[in-house]
Amino acid sequence: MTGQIPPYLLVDILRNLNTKELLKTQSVSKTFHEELTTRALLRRILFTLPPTLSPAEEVPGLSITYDLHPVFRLSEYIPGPTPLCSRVLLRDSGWPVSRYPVCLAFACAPACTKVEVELCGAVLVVEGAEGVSVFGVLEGLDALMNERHANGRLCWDSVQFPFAGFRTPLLPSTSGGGSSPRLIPEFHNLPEITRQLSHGKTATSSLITFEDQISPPASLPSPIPHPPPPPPPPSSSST
Amino acid sequence: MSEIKLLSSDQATITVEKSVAERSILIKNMLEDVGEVTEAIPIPNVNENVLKKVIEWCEHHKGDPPAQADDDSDSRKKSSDIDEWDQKFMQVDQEMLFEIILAANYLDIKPLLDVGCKTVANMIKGKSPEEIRKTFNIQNDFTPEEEEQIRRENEWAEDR
Repeated sequence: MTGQIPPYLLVDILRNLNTKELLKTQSVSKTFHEELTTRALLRRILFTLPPTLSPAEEVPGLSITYDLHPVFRLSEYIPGPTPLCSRVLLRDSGWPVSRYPVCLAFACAPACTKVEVELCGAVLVVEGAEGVSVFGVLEGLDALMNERHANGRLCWDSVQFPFAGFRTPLLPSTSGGGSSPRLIPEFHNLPEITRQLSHGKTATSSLITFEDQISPPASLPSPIPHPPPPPPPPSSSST
Repeated sequence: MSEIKLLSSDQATITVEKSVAERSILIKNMLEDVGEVTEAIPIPNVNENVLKKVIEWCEHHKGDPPAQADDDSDSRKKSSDIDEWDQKFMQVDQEMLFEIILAANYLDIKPLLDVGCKTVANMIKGKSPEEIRKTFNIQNDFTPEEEEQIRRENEWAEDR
């Protein structure tokens, strides 16, 4: 029973909530839980609805808007040689994201079997037959970071410019074959925030991408133009 | 100006402008099927108070463009985008709020149903599961262990 809320209207009510708000309702009652785990519309908001074989959105020439999982914005990604699990932490609690089932949720909605991660002009394709997960995208980002770093194309100060999540530009779908979203990592520009705050201003935007090239080392070569040949490893499977 | 009569579940007859009543797709289709009617149209699921309230909403919104077809895939909007008049309209007790939602659903007035559902969604926002249960008189049918497991799984999304 859902008290006064008519059960058959529950989905119409809950669809107005965002991912975090919706998750909070999951433990209200078994009826709520059932709705959230079975209704496609709500599963899409929770990033648990698998990719469809022939999504209605895949109309040639039409742009698709992808929502990105909010956990990206709440996570801190730290470069390093240790396993990735220990380097993706929730910013507030410091706990590894891999500790929660959310790391297996789909990275975007609608979910995709292929996602492109772009960094400094290089594009890495992350594929997952059953849908690319949050952790799959982070693995892709990590592989791309390592490759760019090893090639001397990127010198990232992760303290001054901490990882802030991803953005996805609106790309027209390719004719016939649908499209995959391109995810571009963003970074907080802490020096700029500090500078603005010290001048009594409110930071208008703290987000940058490496395309903005706030402080590129002068000795490094310019990023290669995109679309480039994918750097090794050419693809990363997400499970 | 053409008028029709509606008969509420508690046998009250309400006269209303036809174009206003036709905000209800149920009534619109009914009128298209039967043509001119002089008798009051029975609305057996809605009492007089609620019907008057629904008609008040229809009168205010009678000039609105017809509701867009809902594709259900990406029509989710922010729950805060309720216009000011509708927000005031929905400032009723909880029982009336749900009566309006049920009436809007029965009469097939989608924009009113949307406003009602968004209003309830706004009441859910910012509340803990326990507060949601209290607000809507919902029984917690999870065991403490089940509830704790769900809470742990979703801990990442908790506001700190």
